[in-house]
Amino acid sequence: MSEPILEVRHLKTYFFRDDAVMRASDDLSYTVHKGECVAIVGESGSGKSVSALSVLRLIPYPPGLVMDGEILFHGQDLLKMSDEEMQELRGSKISMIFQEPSTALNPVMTIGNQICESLMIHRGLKKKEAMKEAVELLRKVNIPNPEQRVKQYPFEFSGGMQQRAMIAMAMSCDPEILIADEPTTALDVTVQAQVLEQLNKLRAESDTALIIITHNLGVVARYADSVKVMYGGKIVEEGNPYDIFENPHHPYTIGLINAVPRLDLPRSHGLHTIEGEPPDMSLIPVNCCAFAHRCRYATAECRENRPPLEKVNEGHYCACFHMDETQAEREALV
Amino acid sequence: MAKYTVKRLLLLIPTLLLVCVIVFALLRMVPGSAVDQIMYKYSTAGITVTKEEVAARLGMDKPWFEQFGIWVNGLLHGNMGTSLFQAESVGAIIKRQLPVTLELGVLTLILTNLISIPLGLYCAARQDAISDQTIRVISVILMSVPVFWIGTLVLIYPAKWWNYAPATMYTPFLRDPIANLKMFIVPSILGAMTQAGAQIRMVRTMTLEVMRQDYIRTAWSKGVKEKRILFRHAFRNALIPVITIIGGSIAGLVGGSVILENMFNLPGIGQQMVNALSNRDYPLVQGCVLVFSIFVMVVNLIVDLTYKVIDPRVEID
Repeated sequence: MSEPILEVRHLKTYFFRDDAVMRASDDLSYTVHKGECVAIVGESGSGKSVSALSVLRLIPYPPGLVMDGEILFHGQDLLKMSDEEMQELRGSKISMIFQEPSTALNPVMTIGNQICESLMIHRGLKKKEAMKEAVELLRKVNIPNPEQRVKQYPFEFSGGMQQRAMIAMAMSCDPEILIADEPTTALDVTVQAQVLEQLNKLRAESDTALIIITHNLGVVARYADSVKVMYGGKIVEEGNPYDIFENPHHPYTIGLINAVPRLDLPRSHGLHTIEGEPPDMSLIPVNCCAFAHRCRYATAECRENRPPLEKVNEGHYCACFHMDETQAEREALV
Repeated sequence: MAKYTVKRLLLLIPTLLLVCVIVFALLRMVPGSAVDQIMYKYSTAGITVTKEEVAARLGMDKPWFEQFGIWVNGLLHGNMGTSLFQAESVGAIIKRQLPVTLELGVLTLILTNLISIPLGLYCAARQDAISDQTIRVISVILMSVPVFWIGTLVLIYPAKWWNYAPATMYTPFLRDPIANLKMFIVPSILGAMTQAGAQIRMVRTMTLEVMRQDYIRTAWSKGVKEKRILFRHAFRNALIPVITIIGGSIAGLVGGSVILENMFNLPGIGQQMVNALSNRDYPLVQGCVLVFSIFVMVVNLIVDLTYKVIDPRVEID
């Protein structure tokens, strides 16, 4: 495997609400290698977006605050950088695409001007050169008539085109890491595939590492080199897509995969759901498995201790005290 | 946009006609008439005249619709009539005194925005910091201090301490801009202070609202610097509600300048109108109201057109 460029270590991002503390990301660690596609999956409120926003230090304070941990980018801790150094990095080395393109683009600035901004800030281009480059970037993401389109406003673009313009913007300075926070969630299903293909093509061309945050397991299966399953602000299982889909160990991962409708199984197989509600993260004690109250394997041990990530295979880790039981049950089923 | 502008300007005509009817009717509903006023003045001078004589001289013995017809007919010929108490045409009075009020209004407006926009943006950028709190407290004070009180202080204390008093002789701007501005600067600062109080808070609130939007986060994620985020990304989006407030305050500036004009001896139209009203000087009041209405309507039109310039999403027509 190539060199690691981003190492998140023991990241703790907490949100402070009136009297409760929400541990949106709780002792989170993961590594991203050069050119790799990492998928972070989990349900709403599992802390996926927060973990990504923390990397760019875009957590709004108040109420959010990175309490502890390290985010090493080429060995340098982003959390210790000055605001100016961080500004240098944002958009040039690490950039981001957001979930809802229609609100993520400034409604009163032309698309061209918005793309130009990063080019002018990070590559020192003059306005005219930047505009030419913006046209090329739009062409690259398959927007027809880019010469006219740069002069238009976001509201004149369709959702898919807006997201592609976002991609053009994020890729404009050839970043080393691109964080895509649910890039296709707000899009039409037919457009989703196009946008993802675009993203993947650009990534492959420029050898950019992609952190894709999603709850769409189909996306994961198709593009990811490595998958992190998040629950309650922690990674509960990680591995390559094969490990996760064919050999899941954590009860939550198993539940997640069973909850996906599959065409290759008989109808009688039915559609499974994960019992219970997503947790209110301010109510989970620090030392316990966040999934315990929804888990049918849970024992007293799970409620009093936090399971560490343990090695299952090379590159496949799982945080559960009852891995053996889940495995035995799975094997019996097969 | 040109088509829309023409349409709006054409719409002025029926609106103005309606204004004519209303102001004509309202004035005549006020108890006491110009005839009574004039008779009172004659009687204090020891001259006896009958009511009918006076009414006939003023043309007020005719039925109201005929009076209205004469007035509107005059308007259509560019003649707003003659003041009942001053030997001058209404047109001449307005032409002489309206520019004073307008200048005070425009200067006040410019100063208000020069104060409130930078301070409002600054407060939004430093939300809840001590500087923000201080400015907010000051703006509440500015909002609540009556202009006549602070105006009196400004007139008395500088004179007492430094022998300084604002100029009180009116000089038209075109004749001597410096002397003119010397006279206008103090009252317009006072006017601006009261306006700015509310507007600082408005700009602050609107900017904060915008700063929470997703596209501001996008701008941060591109590495845009704070200053540019405030001015380029947030301010323009926050401007629309602010423009509405500014539009509303312009109308108020024209009407509400009576106190300042009075205190600083500015020969504006505000004072003229108050006098005309208490004298029941019908033609003069009617003329002033009409001119004000045109002004307010034109300002509204400009505000509407500005929306389109600021926000490309706005659909006019």
